[in-house]
Amino acid sequence: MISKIIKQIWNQRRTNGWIFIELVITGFFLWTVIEPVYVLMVNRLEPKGYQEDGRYVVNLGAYGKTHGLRDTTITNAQRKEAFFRISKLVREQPEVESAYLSLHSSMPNSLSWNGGQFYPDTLSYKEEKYIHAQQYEVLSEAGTDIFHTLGIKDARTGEELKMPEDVNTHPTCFVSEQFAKRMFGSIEVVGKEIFDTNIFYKIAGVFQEIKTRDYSGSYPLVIYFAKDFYMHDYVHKNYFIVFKLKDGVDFDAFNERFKKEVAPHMNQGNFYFEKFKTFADMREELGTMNGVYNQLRLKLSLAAFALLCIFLGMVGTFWIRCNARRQEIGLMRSMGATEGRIRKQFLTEAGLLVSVAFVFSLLLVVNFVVMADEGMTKQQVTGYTDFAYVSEWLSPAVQFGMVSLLTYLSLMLIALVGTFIPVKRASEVLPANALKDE
Amino acid sequence: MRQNKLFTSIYVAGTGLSIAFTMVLFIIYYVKFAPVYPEYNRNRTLVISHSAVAQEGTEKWNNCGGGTSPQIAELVKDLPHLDQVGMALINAWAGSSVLLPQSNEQLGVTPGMVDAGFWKVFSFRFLHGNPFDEVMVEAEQPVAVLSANLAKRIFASTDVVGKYFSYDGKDMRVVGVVEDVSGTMSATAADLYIPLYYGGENRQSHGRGLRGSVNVYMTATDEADLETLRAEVIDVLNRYDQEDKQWAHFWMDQPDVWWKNTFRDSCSNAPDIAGAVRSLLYMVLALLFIPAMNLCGMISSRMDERMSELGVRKAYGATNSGLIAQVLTENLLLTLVGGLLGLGLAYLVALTGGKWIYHLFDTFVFTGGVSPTYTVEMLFNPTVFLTVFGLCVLLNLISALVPTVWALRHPIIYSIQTKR
Repeated sequence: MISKIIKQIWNQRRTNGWIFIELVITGFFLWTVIEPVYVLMVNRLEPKGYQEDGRYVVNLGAYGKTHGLRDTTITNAQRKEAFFRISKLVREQPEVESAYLSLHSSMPNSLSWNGGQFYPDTLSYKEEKYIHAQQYEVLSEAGTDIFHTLGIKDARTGEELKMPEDVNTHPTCFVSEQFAKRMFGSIEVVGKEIFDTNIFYKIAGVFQEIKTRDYSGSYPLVIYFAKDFYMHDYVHKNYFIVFKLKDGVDFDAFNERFKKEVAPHMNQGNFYFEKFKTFADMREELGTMNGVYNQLRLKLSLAAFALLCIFLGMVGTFWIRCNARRQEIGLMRSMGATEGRIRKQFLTEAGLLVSVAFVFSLLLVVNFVVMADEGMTKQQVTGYTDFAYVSEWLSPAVQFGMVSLLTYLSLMLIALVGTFIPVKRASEVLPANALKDE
Repeated sequence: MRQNKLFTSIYVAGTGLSIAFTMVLFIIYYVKFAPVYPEYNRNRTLVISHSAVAQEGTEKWNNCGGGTSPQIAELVKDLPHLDQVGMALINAWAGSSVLLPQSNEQLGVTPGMVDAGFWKVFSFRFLHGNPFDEVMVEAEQPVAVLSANLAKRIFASTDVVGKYFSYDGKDMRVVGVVEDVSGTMSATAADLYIPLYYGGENRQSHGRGLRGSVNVYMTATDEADLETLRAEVIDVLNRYDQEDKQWAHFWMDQPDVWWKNTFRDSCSNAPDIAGAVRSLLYMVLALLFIPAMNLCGMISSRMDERMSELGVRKAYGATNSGLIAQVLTENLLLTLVGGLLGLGLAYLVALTGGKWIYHLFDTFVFTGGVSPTYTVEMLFNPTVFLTVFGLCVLLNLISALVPTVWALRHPIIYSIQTKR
């Protein structure tokens, strides 16, 4: 049957030529639009490494220089005291279980990202052998706990990490599993030191990977603690209070009570309470502002466009072909061929056409990826989003294979649906009616 | 069309799909580049929107950001080919608010801090009153020009010149009300406009040469003088740089002509125009060629069916070029029907897609600010219609020419014998 179908395809090569070219071009085009979408989706599947439920971020506002309510007599030192008082006020609410003070870039889904080079020792520094890592800077105010607030777990034990006692007496840091492995080849690194060209930090723990951005894979991360910060007019945009509500607390009720009873007390140091944000709010804002959602929309629309074109192309091509081979179908039916057999023959014809065309598409893709050194998403997804690292789960070979498979399957599915519609109509024709045309 | 319903519907759907996607792209860039209210002078405007500096003697910039110093307006004001210079800082990050007297609620607003020249560079339609002048800007007066929408929210009327409202806790006097500006006009869209130096803001540079926060817009006396003006501005900036012994400036190819500036999204690099054009071209080619292959296949099959008809016509003296013209005209009719359908779809996407459509290709999308709506002027204009027509002709040529020429290359006798 296959050899008959191949002969049929060859005999009608001129009509098949156009749809074949379209299939080749669409296969290539589809691959290039599916690839970044696939990477983003795989990245999203990687565990976050922290807890989001019941966690909130306090958004403070501040009266600017020209604001009518600004108290111009307040000094920077007074503002700093006010900021810590506000933080304490939030932490002391009966519904709040724990909190920490985070630099803007030091919480998941933040719009800001901070990173730097770390060395295992001064010799490596001289030889410029370093690991680049993201940094979380956390204010080490007494009573705050980033690990409990975000539910960050120890990579070795799986238990929640504890804040060390000596965090203010000695430069201390915690490193991610990935960082430890890359720098020391092991996660048994507690007690070792790392150097950031300025300070030696003692490693107090290794945590399970944290994925700071939802659309990105995890990246080596170092969490360290700062005692103080520089006060300026926009400090409320640089430092945030992140807190965790106790289990079972209703956020809406807490929010209502907070706005009525607590928020007025936050009017100090020219600060005021604006609102609470969830991590989901921040994720939405980040995806929108970094253009990731728009890229997804664009790629998915283009994929839909290409598949719709293929659908129309297959419907058109096979409709015309079925009409032209009406007599042949009638003859086959009168010789005892079932509707199913006729459909199978045409669908196999379409399937063969798609498969052969896809081989050519893949040759173009390989040329695009390997020869031109383009195409495969590497460090940055789509080139549009900064710091969107491809998940470590994804090896280039798996990435290539999976994207190719997905492209082939989508192309095949749409092509077969497009073929099935006219073929079904043609195969249902009664042999006598079809043979009348003979 | 009635005889071949299937052919017609697939042809029209394929064309419509292609035109719809291409026109969405076109509309996005038309709104960014073309003269639209109140940015009618875009074709003769130069823009400086970013600045980067380093201490003298350093090879690479080490401090950069959006905006530059208002001092630039002083430097360029006497250039021979300069018509107007204006400055603005559309401060959507400010967290500013106005008091709505009826409900006693604060309404978050986006203020445009602008100088007197801004009103001359851009062509606002004033419903009431006038813009504030240079004296008011220099004196940092608490005066404002409101958008019609904000005026209605505060006062329930647009005829409010001379009235006062509360802006960030302080009273401000209304001097004018302008027709609303769509958020797609990134240089001019704001809820209200206040003097650039209000509250002592923006007057100084950041203490690092010509680093600052304002965007500078310079119009040439004529579109033809734009490049000359650009050369003059570059010369002025270079001379300033030579005289500044403390700071070296890196302008990254600025000042920009308008369209180029829309691609500038970083203070540290010149925009990658070639890369952006390449990816757009790749997309447009795909949007046109993939459906064109469909249409080619269908027309090719249709030509097979009409072979005997074409043979007879050739036998009676019709020339190949005459027959090609006939087939192309027939198909153009179908393509135009598809084109109209596609344009309708593109309008639907633009009008219902909201903010994300306008920012589809942007690397940074600010979630606040004035809402980017599409106006009648942006969607229904001769350029849009001509582009649709041009695309239809192009698509028609790509899809119909090859199969037609192919079909007509056969000798008359063969054509007549194909079907009797």
